[in-house]
Amino acid sequence: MLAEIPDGPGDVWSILIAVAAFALLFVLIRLLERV
Amino acid sequence: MTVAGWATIVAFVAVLTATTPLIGAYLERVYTTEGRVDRLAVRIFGQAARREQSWQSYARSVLVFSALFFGLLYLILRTQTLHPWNPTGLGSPPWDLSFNTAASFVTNTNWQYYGGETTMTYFTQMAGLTVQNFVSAAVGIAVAIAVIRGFAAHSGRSLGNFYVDVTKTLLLVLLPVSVIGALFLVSQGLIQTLGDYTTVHTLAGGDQVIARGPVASQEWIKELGTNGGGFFNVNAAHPYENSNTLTNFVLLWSILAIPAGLTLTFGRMVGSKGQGWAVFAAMMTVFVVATAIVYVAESDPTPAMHAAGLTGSNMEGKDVRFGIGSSSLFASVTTVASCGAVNASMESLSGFGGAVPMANMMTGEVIFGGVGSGLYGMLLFVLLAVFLAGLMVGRTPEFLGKKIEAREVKLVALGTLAVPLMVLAASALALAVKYGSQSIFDSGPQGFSESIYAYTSQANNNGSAFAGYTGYVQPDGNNATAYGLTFADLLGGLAMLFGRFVPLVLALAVGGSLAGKRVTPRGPGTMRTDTPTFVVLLIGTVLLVALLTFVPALFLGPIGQGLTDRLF
Repeated sequence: MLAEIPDGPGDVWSILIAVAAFALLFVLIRLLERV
Repeated sequence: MTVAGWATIVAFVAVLTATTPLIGAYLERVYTTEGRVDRLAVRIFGQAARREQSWQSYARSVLVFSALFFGLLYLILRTQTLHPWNPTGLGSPPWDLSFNTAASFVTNTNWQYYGGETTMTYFTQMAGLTVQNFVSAAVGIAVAIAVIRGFAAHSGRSLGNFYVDVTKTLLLVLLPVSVIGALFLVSQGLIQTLGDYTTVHTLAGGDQVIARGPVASQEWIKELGTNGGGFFNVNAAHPYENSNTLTNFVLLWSILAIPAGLTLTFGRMVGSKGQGWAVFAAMMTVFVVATAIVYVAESDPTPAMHAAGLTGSNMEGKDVRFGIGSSSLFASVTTVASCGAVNASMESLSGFGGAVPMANMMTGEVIFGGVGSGLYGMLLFVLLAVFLAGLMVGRTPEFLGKKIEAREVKLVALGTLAVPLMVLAASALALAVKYGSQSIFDSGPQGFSESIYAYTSQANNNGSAFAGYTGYVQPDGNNATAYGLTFADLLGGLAMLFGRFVPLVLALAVGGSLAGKRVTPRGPGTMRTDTPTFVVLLIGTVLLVALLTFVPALFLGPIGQGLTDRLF
């Protein structure tokens, strides 16, 4: 199934995954302030 | 083994050692003096480049900057049909490969599931990939300088300004050296052209398409910035990327020049050159031993050669121009640094010869490592070594007059273990599910090695590959009929993003924490950290963490293969 995502929806997934990854890194900064 | 092979290795170590203090001094001057470039940074970035930044602010700037370049590179990749300088009419790579490639170049990894000459337009190579070679390297160096400021600060909170540091790195370090370097490579026969691919008639009567392009300018920064992504699929084994033994030697030097120089920049900025040399000595010792092991291993015949009745060295996958010595040196240099460029096939290394590059990466890319990232990664291990020594002798651990307390030790533990955890988790997932097995080419321990090498390389931002593992299939050698292997592309992309930025943020947090500490004068009870004893302790700490984490995986893969005569 993973290999069947066409380019259009795939671009949306790419952007969402990248935004989520960078958002998690911002959360990491906040968490480390409390260490 | 030959005298020439050993002489090449010895000469390389000598040249690198001789240039390290010069580069270290130059870099220190760049970042400790104000000039026109500081004012230029303010004009480019506005108020953001004026203020001093805390570690949190510095880290957020790195993330915003990198995220914007991720988006820009992804856009360039997905719009190739609109590009100028597209001589073979290439279409855009699929979305999943584009995700992986954007993550790869933004994180200074340059993992390549694609072949450059059959996938990327000249415009992508120049405006997308080469630009990232500069930018991602500049980010790494800037962060290292910020972390050094934390170690050097006397009760301050600021780590400097990211935008000023990155502008200085680009304009005063990477760009000028790269112009000279690219011109040198052109003088040695590397090509630099926007002309079409050319067709030649072979002696056998057939036709052969020769791929060309703006290679020299990409080649130099690819090594200097420890990026490693080749213009061509075979990377620096291609004569247009690496034309002779002189270019091979100089390119090898350029890979380690900045990571080595930064150790002395650190020493100078913290006011203890001896401390810088101690870090350099630890890195150099591990590097020399690793190189010698690869050279010895590759000088013996492999089981496949025994089976075929052949004797001599393992020349499979190696270029006769470079031979065993320079190929072994390259394999070691490119994996102690997080470069990943190759001049020979990693997959063709013998069992033990292949274990060393993998083990080099498994140390967390701190043996010289990537530009900037190698030093700030090693400084985390320095603090860990100081902490362990403090436990052993019953003293409060301190480094450069600053007490290492619970907060720093927690951050260091996270910083040194985060990437190994990612490697093991991603490798286990890829080996356990059917989507992961689609990417593996060989069977047995070789196939296992391909898989764990892939995620070790990506999470540690190296980029070299055991050639068999794939995330992209090109049935007709062009983008029109090609498709990505989504699982491998996404898992690898995320491994690269988190493998780059999690340790980076943690190193900045350590720098920020140390910046606020007062410096206490050295007393009779202070443990020296610039002595050979500490160098041994530091090496032991680095190797112990890597061994405890990865030995089972190494035995299942390359060591298992090296201990048997079976063919895989």
